[in-house]
Amino acid sequence: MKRWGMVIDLARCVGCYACTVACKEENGTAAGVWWAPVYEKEVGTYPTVKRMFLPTLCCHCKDAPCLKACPTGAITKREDGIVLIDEDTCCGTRACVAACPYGAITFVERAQGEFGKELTPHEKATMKMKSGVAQKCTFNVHRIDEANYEPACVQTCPTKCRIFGDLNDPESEVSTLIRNRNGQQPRAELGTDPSVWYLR
Amino acid sequence: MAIQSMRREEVVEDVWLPTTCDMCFNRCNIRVRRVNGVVVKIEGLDAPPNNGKTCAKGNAAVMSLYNPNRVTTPLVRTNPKKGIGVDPGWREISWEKAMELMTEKVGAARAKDPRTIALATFDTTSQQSLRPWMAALGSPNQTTISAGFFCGNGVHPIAFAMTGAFDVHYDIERCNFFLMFGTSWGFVNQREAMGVAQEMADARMRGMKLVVVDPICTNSASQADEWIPIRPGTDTAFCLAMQHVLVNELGLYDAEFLRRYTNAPYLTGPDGHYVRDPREGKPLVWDARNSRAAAFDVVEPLDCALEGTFQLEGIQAKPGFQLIKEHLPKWTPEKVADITTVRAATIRRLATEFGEAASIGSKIILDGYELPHRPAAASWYRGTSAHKHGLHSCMSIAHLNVLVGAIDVPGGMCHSGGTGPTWGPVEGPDGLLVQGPGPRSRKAPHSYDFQVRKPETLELVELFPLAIYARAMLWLGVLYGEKFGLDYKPEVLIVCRSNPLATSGDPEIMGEAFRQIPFIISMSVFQDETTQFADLLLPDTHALERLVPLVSKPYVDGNSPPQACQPVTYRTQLPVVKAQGQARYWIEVLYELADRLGFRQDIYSILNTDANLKGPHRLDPERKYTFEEIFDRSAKSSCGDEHGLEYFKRVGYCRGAKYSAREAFPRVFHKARVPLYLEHFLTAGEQVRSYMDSRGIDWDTSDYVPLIHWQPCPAASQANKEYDLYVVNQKLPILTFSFTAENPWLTEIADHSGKVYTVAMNSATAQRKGINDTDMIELETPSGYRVQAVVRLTQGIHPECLSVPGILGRRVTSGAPRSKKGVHYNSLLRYDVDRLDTVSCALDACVKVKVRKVKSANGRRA
Repeated sequence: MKRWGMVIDLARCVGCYACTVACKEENGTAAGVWWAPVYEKEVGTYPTVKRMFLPTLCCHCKDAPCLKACPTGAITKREDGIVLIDEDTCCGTRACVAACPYGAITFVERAQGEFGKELTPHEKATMKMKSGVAQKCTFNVHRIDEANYEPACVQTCPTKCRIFGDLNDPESEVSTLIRNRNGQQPRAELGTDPSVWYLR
Repeated sequence: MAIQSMRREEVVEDVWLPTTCDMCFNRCNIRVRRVNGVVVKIEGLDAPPNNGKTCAKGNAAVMSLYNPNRVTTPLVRTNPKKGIGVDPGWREISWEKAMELMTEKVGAARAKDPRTIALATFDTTSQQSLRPWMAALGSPNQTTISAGFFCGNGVHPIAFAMTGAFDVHYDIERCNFFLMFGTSWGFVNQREAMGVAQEMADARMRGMKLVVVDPICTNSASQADEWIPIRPGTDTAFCLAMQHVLVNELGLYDAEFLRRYTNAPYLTGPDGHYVRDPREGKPLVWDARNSRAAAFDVVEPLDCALEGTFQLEGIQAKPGFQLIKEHLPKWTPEKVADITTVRAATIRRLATEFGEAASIGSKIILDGYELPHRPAAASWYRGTSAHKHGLHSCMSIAHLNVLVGAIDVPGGMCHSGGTGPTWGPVEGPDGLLVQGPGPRSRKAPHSYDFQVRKPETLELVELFPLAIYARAMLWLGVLYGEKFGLDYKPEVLIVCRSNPLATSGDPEIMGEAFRQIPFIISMSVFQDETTQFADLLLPDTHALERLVPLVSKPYVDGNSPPQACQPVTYRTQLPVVKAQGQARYWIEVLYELADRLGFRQDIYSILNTDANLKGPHRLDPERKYTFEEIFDRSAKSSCGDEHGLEYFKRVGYCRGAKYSAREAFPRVFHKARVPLYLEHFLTAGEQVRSYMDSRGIDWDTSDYVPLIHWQPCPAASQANKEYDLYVVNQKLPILTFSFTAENPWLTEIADHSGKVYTVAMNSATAQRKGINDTDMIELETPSGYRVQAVVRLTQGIHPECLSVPGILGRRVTSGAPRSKKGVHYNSLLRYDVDRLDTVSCALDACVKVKVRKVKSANGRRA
């Protein structure tokens, strides 16, 4: 069985936010809702300084704390490892938001368009506009299932710093990169076994 | 793939359509998903220049397309008073009335003097279609905006001189040491953005060392191997010191390259000019083998002396290189350390690394050709161009590449599409490199045959013999042109998809100039500072709504050179959705105007040549063609009969012949020489001084000298020490020009970062001043302009600098959220003749401000 996973090469990331916007467009998230934000952190003292860029998303953990925390069973995990929130079942307890160690889940208080009440034609077409639910990255499961197509964030990245593939296949690009470049899981000590790995 | 928010049965149309993006000037190939007539997704197409990738801006284009406050009908002004923030009192009129009004105004101006009609745009995608219109109209007055004030000024004249092309490209695929001054090329900025982002990441991962010299720790500096903070406006001194180390300390330069391919061996006399053969006037060199002076083109290059002093019939002659050798010790690393704030040891080390990495003498085989391999290059763009002495700054960087022979060879600084299958650089006057004949989108305005004369253009470009354009002079020319000998004033200004009031000089001065122009037509998607000055405002199409009628030829278009050994790629912009409201593509409007004024036939005749339309595809001037028909003919002429409009509508791009290594790296295949000793600067300066003296104008000609020197920018010489901090602008990958301020996705990211709408200050500097993170501060320029903003402290900025990014702090927008946030950098700059680089006509972006705390972050007033 496949285990879908992503590798993000921090040595290649240039903090351009292409992934952040591609995600928003692909998923039609409401104003203020971002499933794949990039964080910046300054390290060092002048003049030996760097700004580090950290693209983030749901880690689709093998042992997902959000799934365990959800009281309604709205969060499930597929055989291929993708963790999904069913917004129709979700009743907005925000237990998952609190449980996630990666801050990957957004509670959408009030879904709105970017220009206020009036939605643009694009927002009407793509936004689910559900308020009072939790949302997060889905690894673009619809692209994978219907067209065997990689997630939008991977497809758009100008420096090819995001690679997607089968973690259970030792010869896949993701597995090879993790092995050769000493990939690290974020907050591995928590034992969530994330499906997202970072390279430095 | 499903659209997640729709049920399957609701979807009656679901198509992907190819076109090119227009969210910056790079024109990446994209495909756009349209469902039930609505754009829902944008992705890259897998073709050069972007190879399947799109940036944040490209991905966000849909939110510009569907801005609910777009200009959708023609509007005419009813309030005669013009100013920023002054309501024009727009009244809707019909397109027919709008065309009648345009025809009347443009027609009257044209009948009097077509030069009185000026057009301003930075819509590079439409450039090829516009040029024939301007030529047929009869006006030389086409201008760009910010690009002509700050960045290209220091790039294009040098690109033409060194490679014969409009721009340069760096072969980082085969480079091992890459030095960048004040630019973020390869980090989703500037030209070739998407393609180079991947190339840069690959090169860095392969082991290419990247060093970024910049007052700010930009995205590029963050990922570089070294960030070298530098005081703004001192890069020239830094580079001269590097040159001194290479030439005088290490003897590390490509002597063969200098002898063969530069004017370094040309003999100079006491007046600084070439010593010429009295019969034919050719510059002389010293033939060391035969101990005699002879014309440069009869002596075996390797026999030319680079050094020495020679007596020639009563005058003492030295090769240009000898003068450079003698000049450089004024600029040792120790002497420039205080000027630049960079330690001497660092400069010396970087020079050594650069020189050694260049591997002078090494070769590489590419595509069956044995070529010199020089895997070291130095690059620049806006950061070093936008200074009072900007051209010297940029030339000092270019000369690093010349010294190690890294010009138009693998690993080095190469032409950007300057060489094609049937043309390339050739020998011009004195054997110096000039652009050869052939189809070009950008012709070099003057090579070495310039002549300063009474100006005929509004931008007075005739007074800038070494510049490629004089955009920054245009608005000052509108205000003071008579003083310089211009004998007419503009009657009509047409502004298309540009916002000069926000993106160029001080808006107050720009406003003054705009008010001098009797009739202004603005074609725009959004309301902005410039549309507020228009008499007639016409709704322009979004790029996703228009067909650009000519196929884009990659090797003449400058921004996206074809890659070595890859096929060249033709592309265009195709409509994906219908125009909103009554919007019309501005080029279509201009062509209709030409029809009404009777010069459409001339446009077609010019297009036949310009666009190289062949045989049955040539336009019959007596007929009228739709843009679809023109495009079809253009595409078939360039790409073959099977690749017309229908093909492009399906596929979006067409691959042509392979771009050979010989075309990509032409240096060793021709003999034209590049200028290391800038003798032509002397000639140009003499002409400029003579003209200005004849008109009693005081004009700074101190940079028209043959040897690069550093001079401080006026801001640096600021007497009042209260104004102690430079404000530096930087580009960001998520914003460009002024219109992205209207894109809520991009501005939300900007807002969230906390670093875009704020002013950045060095933490130690702030501590000395008693300023804390997120305090409200006020900046004040020496001219008294004040602006308040939240300050963010950072370690990643030179202690003498503040930084403000992009074009923000907008005053007039279509009202998108956050569209007015931020600080407007351009308002800080003094915009007058004193602040222009008289060689390149760049506007000095050096400004020093004084800072005071207005309010603490905790709310207490300071």
